[in-house]
Amino acid sequence: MRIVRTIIIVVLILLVVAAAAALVGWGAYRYTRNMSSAIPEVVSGFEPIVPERTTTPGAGDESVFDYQSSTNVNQTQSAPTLTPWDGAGRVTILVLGLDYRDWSTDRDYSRSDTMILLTLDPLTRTAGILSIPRDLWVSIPQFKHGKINTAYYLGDAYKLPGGGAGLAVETVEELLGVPINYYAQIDFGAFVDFIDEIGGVKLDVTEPITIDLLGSGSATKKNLQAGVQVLPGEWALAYARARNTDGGDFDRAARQQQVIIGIRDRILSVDLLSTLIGKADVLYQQLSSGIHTNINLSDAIKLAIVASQVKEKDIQQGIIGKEQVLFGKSPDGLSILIPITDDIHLLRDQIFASSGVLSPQTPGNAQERVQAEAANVSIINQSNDPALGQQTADHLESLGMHIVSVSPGEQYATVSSVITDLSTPYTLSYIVNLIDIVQYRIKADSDVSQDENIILFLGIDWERDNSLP
Amino acid sequence: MDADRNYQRRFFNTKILKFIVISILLFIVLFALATSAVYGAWLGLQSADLENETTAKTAEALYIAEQYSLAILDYEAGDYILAEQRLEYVLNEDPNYPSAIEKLTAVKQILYATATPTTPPPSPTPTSTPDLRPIYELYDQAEREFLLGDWDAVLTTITALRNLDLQYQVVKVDAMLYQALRHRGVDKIRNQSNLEGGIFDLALAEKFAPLDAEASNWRNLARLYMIGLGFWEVYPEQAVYYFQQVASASPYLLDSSGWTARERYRAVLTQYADQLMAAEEWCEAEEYYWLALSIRSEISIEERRSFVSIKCSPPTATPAPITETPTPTFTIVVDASPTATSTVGVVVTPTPTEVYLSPTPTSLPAETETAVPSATPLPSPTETPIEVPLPTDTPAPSETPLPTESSKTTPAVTPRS
Repeated sequence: MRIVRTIIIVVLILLVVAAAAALVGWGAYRYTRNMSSAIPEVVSGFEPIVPERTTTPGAGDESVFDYQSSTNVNQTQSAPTLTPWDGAGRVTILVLGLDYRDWSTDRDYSRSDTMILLTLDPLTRTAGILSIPRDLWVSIPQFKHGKINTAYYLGDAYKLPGGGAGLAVETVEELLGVPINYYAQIDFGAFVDFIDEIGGVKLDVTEPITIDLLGSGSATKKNLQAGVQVLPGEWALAYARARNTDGGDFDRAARQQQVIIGIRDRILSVDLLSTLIGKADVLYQQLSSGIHTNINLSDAIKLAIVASQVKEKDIQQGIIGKEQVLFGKSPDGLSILIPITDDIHLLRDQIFASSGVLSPQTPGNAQERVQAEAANVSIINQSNDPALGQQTADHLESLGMHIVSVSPGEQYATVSSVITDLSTPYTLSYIVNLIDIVQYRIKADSDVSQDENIILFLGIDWERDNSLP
Repeated sequence: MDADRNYQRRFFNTKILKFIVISILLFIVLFALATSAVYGAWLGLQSADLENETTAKTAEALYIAEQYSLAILDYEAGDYILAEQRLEYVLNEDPNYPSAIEKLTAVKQILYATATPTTPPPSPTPTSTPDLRPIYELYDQAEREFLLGDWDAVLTTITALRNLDLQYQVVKVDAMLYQALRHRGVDKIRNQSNLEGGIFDLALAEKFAPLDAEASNWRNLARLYMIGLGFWEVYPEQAVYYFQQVASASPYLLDSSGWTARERYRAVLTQYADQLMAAEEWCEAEEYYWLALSIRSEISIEERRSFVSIKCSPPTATPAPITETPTPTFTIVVDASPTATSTVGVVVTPTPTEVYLSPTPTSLPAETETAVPSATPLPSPTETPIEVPLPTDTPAPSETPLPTESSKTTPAVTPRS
């Protein structure tokens, strides 16, 4: 009897154990399955939108196809794949923030409200930030002209292969001509979470400002006093979004850059970088739902490390602001900013072309660079002074150039000119500056001569006004 | 005593036995639970992976199918460029996608039926990780690529080289960079429809040395084009000013959307004429319509021109012969028997030489007439290459010719010792 009872108890225990094990196993199965499942993005249906697509003149209408066909257009009109980063050269990221009005009303497609180009040159440890105003009137690839903030919307709405971010990148590339390697579209929640993760951001608020926290109603309005203060994520976001100061969007762009620099300073000041990198994969998972980007974790960490080594003085900051635009109205009456191309070029070059691996690296001053090149130069004297050729040759030789020959010209010339094979840029630059040769008198000819890099034609202008010793 | 001891021993042994049995049972329970948990988790992972993979494949297949469907719609709507883009994407993702290759071929045949074949520019071959080959090997490779004129490759290789050693053959590498950037910049503007990209490359090249006349001219053309584009549909009178210069110098300069400078010029002439018509400036509007029509005729523009022409010169009972030409480049023929519905008896026939029309300076809006409400001055016309000859298909570097070969090879050469 006792044995039977024992057997029953053992069987019951085993059943309970088995049930518990099964339960635990099922739980583990569900948990890991849920944790590892990617939630597929819901693709919302296509809806017609207002902005019209541009029609390439002639396409589809052979009767008017009388101009040169777009022979090479397909190179730029292929699927908008971004220029891959080679891991060494300059890397440029387009940071996009969406329009809160679109986002909060759960519209299928959003316009971009913020466009910031971040650029980093790993080799020279220099960086740059350029803000692009949302009302800039630009050519949007495949579409009619429009405000730059509609590019993201159109790319999404028309389901272009690169989506909204792809078209936004293409549009900015066409505007500025700089290759863009990555994009990062950051949601409001992810921004707030990240700021809170690093313990807030320290900002110097220069003037009192009313900010509006996410949400609705008067309770969301907060007043920020002037002064240095550490703002939590929600406040920092509201500060970066506020545009209720005299400068409107341009002031807002400056505040956004201030927040970016503030984040950098915060991470560096308390040595948060190693901590953040230590838990980068967890952080990445946490934030990944709110950051849509083509930067992989490995490159993100690499870039973060390099960015942390850039000194503040080596960060060029710029805003396409009042000096670079004209205020105007679009055909449908919207306020727009018309780009002043030349001034935008100046700003762009200051941020993207002033340093980097593709910039001059030969050390020394202009004269030392000339010496290092040891260019072969021929001189043809077309001035009235027969001795000018030799005098100039002696001077140039003293600077380190090799004078191959000096000869009189067959005819006189009023202005000096130069033919170059382009292989000795520093010598060319020195001569052009010395003789004050205008640009249209510089001729490139790769077949100058086997023995010459530069042929210098001295004119009467040099005879009249020269600085020879 | 013995009995007590035996009892105690038995009791002790039983207790130990019980303890051991319970421990074993507990171990079995825990082991079973742990095994179940681990196995369950493993199964969960496997299942999730499988599901993820299936979901991703399904989503990708759906997305590709959607792109293909959109491509067909674009094709039917006559938007061949976008159709091409979508089909290329589809084939890139799935080279065997049914009918995609045939459809792409059809699109390309339509798109490039009249295109002149050109060699596509070399595509960059960037690497995802730094190239760690020896420096000299990279340098040799850059030199080879340089000789082949593969400028993209030269720049990629030099970037890799400089990542290893910034100062290796620094003078020669700087010279290669200057030339590669200069040539690539011109190539982007001239052949790749990438005007801003070309301007940027030339700006980078200019950090080394001044640009030569040819490169400078191409940059200036691209710059004028981009300035004109900024005024597109907003201030057509400004756009006319800039596109006129580009269209005169290089009518077939393309932008990335497939427009030529000439087509842009024609479009902004029409836009400006429309604006003048709306402002009831009939005669000036007619002048600009004529300029647009002389580039390419179009019925809708012709109708508008007829309308403004009537408004400009209403028919009279005894029409006076017209003695003045609207622009110096037109030939005016007076119809002897005008009717009330005719274009006031004036038939303007553009001469065959009017390919590159230049509006008379007085007919163009002056810079100061712009309605742009800003204190910032507009780009000064003096910065335009009026003094500098603009490039033709093979741009000449200067208006005053540089010394010729004969002057280069002058016999009286004094060799230097």
